[in-house]
Amino acid sequence: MSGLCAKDLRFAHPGGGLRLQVPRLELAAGQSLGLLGPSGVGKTTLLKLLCGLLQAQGGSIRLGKQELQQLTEPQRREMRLREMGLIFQDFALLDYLSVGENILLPARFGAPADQALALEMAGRLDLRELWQRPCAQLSQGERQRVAIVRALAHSPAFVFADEPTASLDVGRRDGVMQLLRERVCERGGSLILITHDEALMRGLDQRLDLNPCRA
Amino acid sequence: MNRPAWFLAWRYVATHRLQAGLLTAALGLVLALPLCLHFMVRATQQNMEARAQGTPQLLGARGSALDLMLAGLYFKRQALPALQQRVALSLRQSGLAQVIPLDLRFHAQGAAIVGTELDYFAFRGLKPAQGRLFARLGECVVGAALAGSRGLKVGDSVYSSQEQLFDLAGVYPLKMRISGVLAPNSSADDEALFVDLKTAWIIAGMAHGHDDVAKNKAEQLSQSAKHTVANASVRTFNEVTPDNEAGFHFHGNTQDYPLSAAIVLPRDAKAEAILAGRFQGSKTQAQLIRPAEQYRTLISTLFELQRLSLALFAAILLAASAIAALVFALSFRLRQREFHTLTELGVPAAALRRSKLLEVVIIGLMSIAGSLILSSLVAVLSHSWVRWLLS
Repeated sequence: MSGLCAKDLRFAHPGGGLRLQVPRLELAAGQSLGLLGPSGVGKTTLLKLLCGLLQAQGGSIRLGKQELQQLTEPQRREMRLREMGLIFQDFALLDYLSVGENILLPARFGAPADQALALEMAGRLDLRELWQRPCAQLSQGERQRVAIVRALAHSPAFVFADEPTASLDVGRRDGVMQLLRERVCERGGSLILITHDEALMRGLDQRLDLNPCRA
Repeated sequence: MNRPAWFLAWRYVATHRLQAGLLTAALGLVLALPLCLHFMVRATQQNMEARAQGTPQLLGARGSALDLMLAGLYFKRQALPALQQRVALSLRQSGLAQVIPLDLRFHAQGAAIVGTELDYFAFRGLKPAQGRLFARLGECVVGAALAGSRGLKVGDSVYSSQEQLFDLAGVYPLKMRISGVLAPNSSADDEALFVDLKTAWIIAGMAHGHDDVAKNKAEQLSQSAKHTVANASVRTFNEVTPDNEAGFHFHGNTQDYPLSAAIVLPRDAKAEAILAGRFQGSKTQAQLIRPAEQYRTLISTLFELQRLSLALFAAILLAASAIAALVFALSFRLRQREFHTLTELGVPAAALRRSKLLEVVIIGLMSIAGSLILSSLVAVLSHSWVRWLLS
């Protein structure tokens, strides 16, 4: 696994809203990066550019040995499914599936997930008892933990997390960060996350403040 | 990639059981309606055809020929005008045909009481599965289906129904002993109760039995050489027993007694033509119909109605399909976030499309299965429903 590198990234929403410019962003394998900035500055947009959910108007993004711009849409989907773990701000769970089914959903579509590993991680985040329960019946904190385990279940090389601990108490926050470090950074992967939590930010290897980028 | 698409589609449908069930039921019903109609029409046709074809002619008082056929062949409750017994007797005496009288005015336990003669059983090929045919006044024979549904057996008794509840001078229930249960023959006979014609007249109050007022002075108001006038304490019998059977007697001329209809079995084709001609031009109050002709008129009307209904069902099916398409489109639009999530996770677009398509397929298959189950049920029950509708 060989990190992430973005150069001369330029992005503007079609409606002429947010404009984003990132001259250079590098993250070595096994490192973590925190994106900082006030609301609306473009943190989530940058995260989506880096994982290929949005297409930059200029510049390049390299994930490991792969140039993202050179991939077709199906290839980008394939890469997200197999090599990336995404933790969304709204958790993006399917309410009609159980906790276990949500966690192993990427595996059903071809992601190399390990059920035993998923169960072990669920146990660490106190989700084992809830494995069969429909996600519609979970609290916000439980939903967030399910989203985290789903993102890690297939041991991805890149994890992109948007406020992954916003709904968690301090004890659980530390547990989640410990798990993210173990399952991503210590295995040579890259962790990019957005957070407003200064305590969380202090535990990361790099930080990028997007405030000056705002047009 | 089909299995995960199946998984997603099935889990969505299974979780939203109520919505899926409602949609399935609505579509299934619309699909089943033409099939059910087809089975009902076919059952009606099969039920009526053999009996209509097997009954050469039917005699009745002038009035609706269709009503006469429905009552005379299928014992359907129709208020038929009375046919005088003498018309049937004169036809019998002409030697042109065998005549089997029918009295269909009364009911017991919701079933028709058919007052007739023993010839009826020979004509319809009816044989008792238990017991014997009626041999005495007050005895009855029960159709197989009626006996089964009411739990009736030989030796039990049934009461004729009081036709007018508030008419004190009206028909009083007669207690009838079951002498036999008929073997089933898949016709209206299975749902009927048969008595001797004279028993039917007892039910009608034209014949009756009571205490011997000539012997019991306490019941007499006056007595002459010809007449005895009794007071209200005289007991009339509501059951024919070996002890009181001899006391039952008829008032008036039995030739004037009413019949509902009479089955006419002409000796040959020539006799049939003669009889048809005789009644067609006659000024009598009777009519002689060919049930097969009435049946063809009825069934052709039924087929026309079926064709019209099928056209309507096709329009309903089209409308229901359009509504179902709209429901799916709106559902997919409401679930845009869910599909977006799957896209973000990297699920291939083709798998997503398949998942949506499979939801439609699952609902469609369940609707088809539901409609087939419903139609099969109707196909199985259609014959008994038709017999019930005709009774």
